[in-house]
Amino acid sequence: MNTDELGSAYQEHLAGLYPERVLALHQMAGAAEVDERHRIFDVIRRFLDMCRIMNKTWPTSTRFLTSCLGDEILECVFAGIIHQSASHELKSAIRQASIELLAAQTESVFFEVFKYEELITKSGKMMCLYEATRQVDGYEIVLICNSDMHNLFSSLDFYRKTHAPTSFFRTLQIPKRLTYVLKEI
Amino acid sequence: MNQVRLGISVSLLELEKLFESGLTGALGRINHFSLEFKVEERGPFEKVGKMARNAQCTISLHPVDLNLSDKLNLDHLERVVEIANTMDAKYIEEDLGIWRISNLFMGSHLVNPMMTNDSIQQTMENLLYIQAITPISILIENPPVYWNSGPVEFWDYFTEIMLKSKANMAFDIGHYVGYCRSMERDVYLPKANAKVWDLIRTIHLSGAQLWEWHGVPVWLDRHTEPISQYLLKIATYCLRNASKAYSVLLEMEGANQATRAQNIENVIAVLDRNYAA
Repeated sequence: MNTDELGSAYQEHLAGLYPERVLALHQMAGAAEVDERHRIFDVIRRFLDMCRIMNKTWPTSTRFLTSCLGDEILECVFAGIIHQSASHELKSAIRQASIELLAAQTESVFFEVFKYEELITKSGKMMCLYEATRQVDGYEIVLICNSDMHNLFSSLDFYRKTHAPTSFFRTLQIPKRLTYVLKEI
Repeated sequence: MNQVRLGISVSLLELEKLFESGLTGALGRINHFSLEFKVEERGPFEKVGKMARNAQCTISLHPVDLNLSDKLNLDHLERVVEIANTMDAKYIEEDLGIWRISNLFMGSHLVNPMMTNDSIQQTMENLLYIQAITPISILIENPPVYWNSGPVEFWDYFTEIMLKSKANMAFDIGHYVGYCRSMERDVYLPKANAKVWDLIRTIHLSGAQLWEWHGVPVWLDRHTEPISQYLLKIATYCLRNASKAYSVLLEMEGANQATRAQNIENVIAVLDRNYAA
């Protein structure tokens, strides 16, 4: 845990500010004692700040992610922020927590969608050859894809811009022709 | 006539631009700048320090990097002191609490200080250490607090730290009003003869949003918002009592030009009323 350099009082303090079950905490806010309601407000303030940054950074991917996996996935990213102390900025910590969380789901396409959105945001081009690497279980995975990711992403972006209901996102066909190259590290 | 300076908070590059373009219009009355920076930042600190001296303006440093309430990062501290010397800073001002976890800068996720006796002791030791390595004054600021995190009362907490460490205070009015809301109490200010007024060296003012959330009064610091008449009224009282105050600081990052000009005009009116001969 990267909060080790803090005293134990503040480590405990931080764990309370970045809990894993934020949504349940929010639902019980109205029934909580007054002092506790103020603490919950501070937690929710931080959680919403993270949601704002995620939605601004990956407007399409975040919508896809939460539509498929539910808002609960955001709680995992939130609880992971304070472990990202190699970052200098909160925004980078949120980015890293999101990527790490999604990279852990080796079967999912979410990681690739996030990376693809970052790539086209930087390049300004919707259509581009996409290549990314990541490390999983002692292997370096090099992912190369071209039109498939672009097709998926275009559909996602279309749904997002038209405020499609979440069920639309779940019905999308995930690309079958992603190319993985595994290299032992 | 009191010599309280009127200041605004700025980044290094903003300040450089301001000096290059000249302090005109509403900025014509500004003669103090509180510089917000992070220790990794590299830039024309020396040049801007000279520009400030030439313009007969003073500078204070707001590093937003030091965990005064917990273990101090000595490398960060060394860098802050180096910049303070380079710029001939009048003082260093820093919110209590946790600004950093290792390299991670918490920003608006600043962690409020535990208001306990242990925290008083730790903060005092940190302040004494800082004062042992630099003659530059260190001011502790009351940070934004959204919930109660300890049994010690606000004024007791800050007064005790200052008396034990000989540090002074940057009193942020918006943060204090927010603290009172978080404690579900009226805004209480010490009486005119209270010792704490002599320890306050600067008063910070900014906009804020106040509302009710799930039935409890909450708030957010909003530097983009106009400074309300309510906060100006509190500022008037504080300035009358803080006879050793060096500056009043307007924090307006992100505010539009009209809001900035209005805020400056309103605070000048407060200063003129308070210090009219």
